[in-house]
Amino acid sequence: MNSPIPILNPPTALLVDSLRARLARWEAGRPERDPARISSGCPALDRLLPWGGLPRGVLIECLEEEEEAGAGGAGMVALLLARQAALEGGAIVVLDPQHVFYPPAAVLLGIDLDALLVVRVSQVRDQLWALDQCLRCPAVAAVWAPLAQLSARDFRRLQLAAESGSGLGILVRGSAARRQPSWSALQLSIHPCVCGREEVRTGRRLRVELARCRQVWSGGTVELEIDEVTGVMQAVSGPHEAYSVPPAAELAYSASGRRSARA
Amino acid sequence: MPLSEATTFDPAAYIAPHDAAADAAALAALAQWCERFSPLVGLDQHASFAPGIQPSSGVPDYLLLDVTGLASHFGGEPALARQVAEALEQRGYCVRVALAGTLSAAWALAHYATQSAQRLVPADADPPGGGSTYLVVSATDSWTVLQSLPIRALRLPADTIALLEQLGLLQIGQLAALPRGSLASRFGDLLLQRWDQLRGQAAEVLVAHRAPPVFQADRFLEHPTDRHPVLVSLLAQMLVQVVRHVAARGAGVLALECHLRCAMSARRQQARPDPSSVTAEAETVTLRINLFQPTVSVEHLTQLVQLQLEQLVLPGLVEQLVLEAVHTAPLVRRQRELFPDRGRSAPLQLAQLVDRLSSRLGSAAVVRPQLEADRQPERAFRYVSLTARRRTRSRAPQPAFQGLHGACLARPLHLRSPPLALPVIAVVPDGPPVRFHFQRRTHHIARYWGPERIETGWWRGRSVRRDYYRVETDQGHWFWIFRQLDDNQWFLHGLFG
Repeated sequence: MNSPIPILNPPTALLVDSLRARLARWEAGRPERDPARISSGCPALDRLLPWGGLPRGVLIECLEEEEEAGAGGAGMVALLLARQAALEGGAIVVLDPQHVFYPPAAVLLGIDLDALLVVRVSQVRDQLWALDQCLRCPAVAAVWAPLAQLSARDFRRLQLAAESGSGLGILVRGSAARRQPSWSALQLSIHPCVCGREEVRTGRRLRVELARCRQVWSGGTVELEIDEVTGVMQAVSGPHEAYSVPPAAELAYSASGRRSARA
Repeated sequence: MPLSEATTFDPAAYIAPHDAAADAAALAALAQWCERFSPLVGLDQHASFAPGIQPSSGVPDYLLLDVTGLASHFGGEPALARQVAEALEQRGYCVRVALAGTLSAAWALAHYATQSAQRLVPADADPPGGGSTYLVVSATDSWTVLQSLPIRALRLPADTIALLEQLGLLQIGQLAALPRGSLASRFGDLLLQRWDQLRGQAAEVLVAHRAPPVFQADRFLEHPTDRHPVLVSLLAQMLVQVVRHVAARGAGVLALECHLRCAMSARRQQARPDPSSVTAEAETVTLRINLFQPTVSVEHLTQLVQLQLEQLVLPGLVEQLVLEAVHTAPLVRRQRELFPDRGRSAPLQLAQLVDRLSSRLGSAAVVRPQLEADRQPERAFRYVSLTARRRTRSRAPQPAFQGLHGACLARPLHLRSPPLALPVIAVVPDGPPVRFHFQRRTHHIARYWGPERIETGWWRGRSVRRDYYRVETDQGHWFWIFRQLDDNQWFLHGLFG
């Protein structure tokens, strides 16, 4: 669906064969594993994702539980994913419209400042332009951008930019984005985990929900803890998948299919 | 002669102050012009001892030409010397040219061997300024000529000269009779050095003068226009010219300036009360493009110019375009890779991205953080612009939170600047916070880490004394709050993203 079927007049038998192979792949429940994927840094989260990690050249949305808080963990998960994407080299671009980004936190999380670029623009038009430019640049491994509002047209434009640059565009958004059309390959909803006063732990515990995802039925969750000492995401429990073996029919007509057709 | 004396002789004399800078500039231009005679033309100064010239420090006052092996191209050494003198005289200068085996000898002969020099114009013609002279002394008989020159011809400091003259050493030749060792101890090492240089026994370096090249292109438009596509394509053509010159020197463009001279539009002219005053008036709009890395890519530069031009409102029709590469730097040669990787670590593409971003958004908007050695959280880093020219690269400071290693979550992702005053309830006056009010609701604190005491900044006048707590609310949200120890006031300083 996402890659067009080759129609350069192949013999019919070949075409049928390729269609059959494709159907078999769908029915296997999981799409082909992309060799160019990035590990999210947490094996349990990788298992939850249909690609066995994060694919390159896509947009990923990390949704806050609340609209305005900025303390619920989505930004941090997004930055950790950006760090993972930059492990093989490449720069991380941080879009900082409100001039609040605090680089020492990034240093503590293990991000090399020499590979970090901060773009501080306040106008939405310039933000989108800068985001587009950064995503198109092949030297940029990941872009971390808090974006509240994003029109369908701009979203699609950013998706195309990410595809051409093959970097990772990680958008930190509020929960309202969950009800809006999305051109991202992956929508992760981040929920902070509440624990009792008597429970002893040092890290930060978050529940990551696969709110929307191309190619698989969404709804799986994994509970993570960001380790205080190493800054690594470790699974506490999960992944819990909503549907362990998604039916092929539903897969073939997944939400993403409808979305890309609309686009 | 003194000024008062001169005015007595001729009251109508034209008097102008001496402009040393203009002299130096004229001589530098002359040096460049003299490259037709020699590839190595040097400017030098020894102002204090040339007769008739007022001593002035730091201003070059003679030209040195290295003509080793070149005389045959000009028909022999005397012909060369004559041609140099003639060419400079035609430019309106009165010159004394001397050609000798060593640099020191040539200098001494040009300044002091006026008697034996040949005149370009016969003396009876009485040319103004005494006429240009030239003199060629071959290496074999230079010594006989030099011997009879005054001791001043050695380019020594004035006090050494005075001492030598007091002792009755008036001619260079007299020095030959003195023991070498005592010369150094009495008159300093410089005397021996000059002596050896004069005789060709010590090397003397001619530092060639090279004017900094100007990379500029200029275009006058017969049909003034303000259409951006036309301007961009014209600028692209000019960029090709400029870049070609820059690239020929193995350099790349680092900063570009583009001046657009706009004629005032008719509407604006009407707005002026006095139309006659604006007839020749033009306004120059300047675009400046700073780059992250030197480049010779015309395409990239054109893109940057275009990005800036797009945001520009021209005051009128553009009638002249001037493009200049203001800063250039040696180009970093990149070897092409046989198996290019995914281009992830391609510095060139990143540099182009930085250039594009800062060209449109301004260089203050595209920054790289640098850690600072300051304990105060809001001063623990600073942003440096990537395209603004910095001469010195600051040393990497020791981050102030070195002790926080192994505490990856000790700092928030967002920092409020300035900190936000919070109503916080703490059960014990000096104890941990219990709940606080923020964003229209009350947050109950489930867990906290801290306090982390930060006391610093006393040298800035107001010392900072804070107890920081990292808190987790019952909703699982993380905040960074602190209590100001001076007045027990609570502040929200950061959110953990």
